[in-house]
Amino acid sequence: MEAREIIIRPIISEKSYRAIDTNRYSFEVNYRATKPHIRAAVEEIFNVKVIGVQTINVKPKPKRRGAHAGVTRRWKKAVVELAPGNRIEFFGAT
Amino acid sequence: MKTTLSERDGNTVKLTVEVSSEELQEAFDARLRRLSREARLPGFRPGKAPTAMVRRRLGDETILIDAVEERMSGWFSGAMAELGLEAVDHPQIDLEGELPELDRPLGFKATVTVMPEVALGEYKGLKVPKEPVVVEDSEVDTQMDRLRNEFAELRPVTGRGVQKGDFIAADLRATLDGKPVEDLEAGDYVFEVGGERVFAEVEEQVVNMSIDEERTFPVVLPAAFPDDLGGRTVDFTVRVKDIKERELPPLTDKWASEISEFATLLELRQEIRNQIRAGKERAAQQRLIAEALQAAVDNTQVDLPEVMVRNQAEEMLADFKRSLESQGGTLEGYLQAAETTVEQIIETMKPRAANTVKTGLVLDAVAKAEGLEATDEEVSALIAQMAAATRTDVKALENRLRKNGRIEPLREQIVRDKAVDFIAGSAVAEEPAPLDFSIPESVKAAMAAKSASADAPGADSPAAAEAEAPAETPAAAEAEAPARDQAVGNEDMARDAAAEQS
Repeated sequence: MEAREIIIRPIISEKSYRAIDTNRYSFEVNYRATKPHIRAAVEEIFNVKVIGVQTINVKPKPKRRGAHAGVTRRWKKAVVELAPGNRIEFFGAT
Repeated sequence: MKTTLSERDGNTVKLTVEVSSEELQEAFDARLRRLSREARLPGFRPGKAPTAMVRRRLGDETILIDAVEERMSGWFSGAMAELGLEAVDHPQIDLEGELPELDRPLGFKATVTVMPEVALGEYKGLKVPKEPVVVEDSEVDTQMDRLRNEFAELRPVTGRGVQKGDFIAADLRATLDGKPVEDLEAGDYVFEVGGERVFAEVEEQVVNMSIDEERTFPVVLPAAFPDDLGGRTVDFTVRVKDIKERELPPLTDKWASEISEFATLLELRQEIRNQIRAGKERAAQQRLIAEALQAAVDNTQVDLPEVMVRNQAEEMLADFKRSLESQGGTLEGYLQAAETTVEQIIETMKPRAANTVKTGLVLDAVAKAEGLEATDEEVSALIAQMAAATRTDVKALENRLRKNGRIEPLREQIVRDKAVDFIAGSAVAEEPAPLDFSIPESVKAAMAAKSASADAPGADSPAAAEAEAPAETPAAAEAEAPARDQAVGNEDMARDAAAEQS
């Protein structure tokens, strides 16, 4: 898997924003990616030193629209902690 | 902020203003903070998104344009204050085709109409013609007659027919082509003959009829009569049931003491005379004030800006509209009936509006020149007075006025009233100039020419003697006519002044 295939998008939300203060950045990642994959991909794309990766399998949520029942897609979220002094310019924020 | 007055043409002023980049930055930041407080971005609760993200999302340019729009009026009024000018209109702002940019000062030009300079003329000790207050006997008589009519009694009449001025009771009915018209039917209908309450034909026909007499005659209904009956002729039948005449009370001391607190007729007359005199004196005082004020206004040179006059005229139109609506009409209806347009009405109102505006400016200028001011106590007193007049709570009224920003206008009103008092107080009532009975030069010349052809030359003295008699009348009439015109104008003024005060 290529790095760009692993990291799908940054998560921008109040919660993820708060985490940036402790040098942790959140991404949606390929569901099949493992922590070592993610570490390598982030280091490659953003040119930073990663010191920790936590992943979360986001469970599908039931949704219904009228008579049609369904679920949202399952996906994987990764929170990556960078070594002190490293930064990622998230959409110009911070 | 750097402000320069670049041009002044009469009441129109052109300003050049430069807003420093720091001020611009400050405006930008304030705008961004405000936007952030309510920005809705996905992933954030409303208003919780970081300003940096909001800025990125909206773009600097949008925010800056918003910021400039938001601050412009403040910058403009700051510039006006710096130059000590007062605008009377919305300024025309010209950014000179430049888009504002951060880190660069923003320059703009503003064109606006300002308060005109008021060149006060004489306003102290103005001489106002004094009109003698005279109560004519006939006026007292009229009043007495009215009083007698009020206390008149109705007496049944026997032995004669109906006369004009009688009150009669009659059964009325009408038929149209043999069919009764219900709307015109009335039993024991009481009316005064000559009181114009019934059709003219009825009043005419009823004269000389006696009790229980019945008469039928044709009546042409007025064009405005409802139910398509307008203009039709109906057969009208009147049957007189009762005749009463009005008996005026005799003019005696006894009557006087019965209807008034006065013991004699003479005293009653005197009281009526005094009342009429008091009324006339009040009117004369009003006229004096109005005339003095108008003189002060006329002595003053002001180049009135058109916008002020127009705004005033529009206000007057709004007043007019309100008064129409309070009587259940509409402005549209009026326009249709009078075949006119709003524009035309405004145009006709302009002369009066101009005078009102000018009067206000003069009063302000006088107040300033004389250092007239309104104290807080006077404002409170006025509010209390208003509260009493409208039966509202003083505190509630004051709060409401304060909320609507109506306190300052009140203060101005008090100051203006004081200025009116000042002008009127210092005015001197003057005996009117004696009427000019001298012969105008033109008449003299005509007379001389005439006599020269008729008489031998050198007949100067008889010609002059002859001329005196006929010349008197036109000269006197001429002298009176302008005086009357003026009086009418003053009434207008007094009305305006009264309207303003209310």
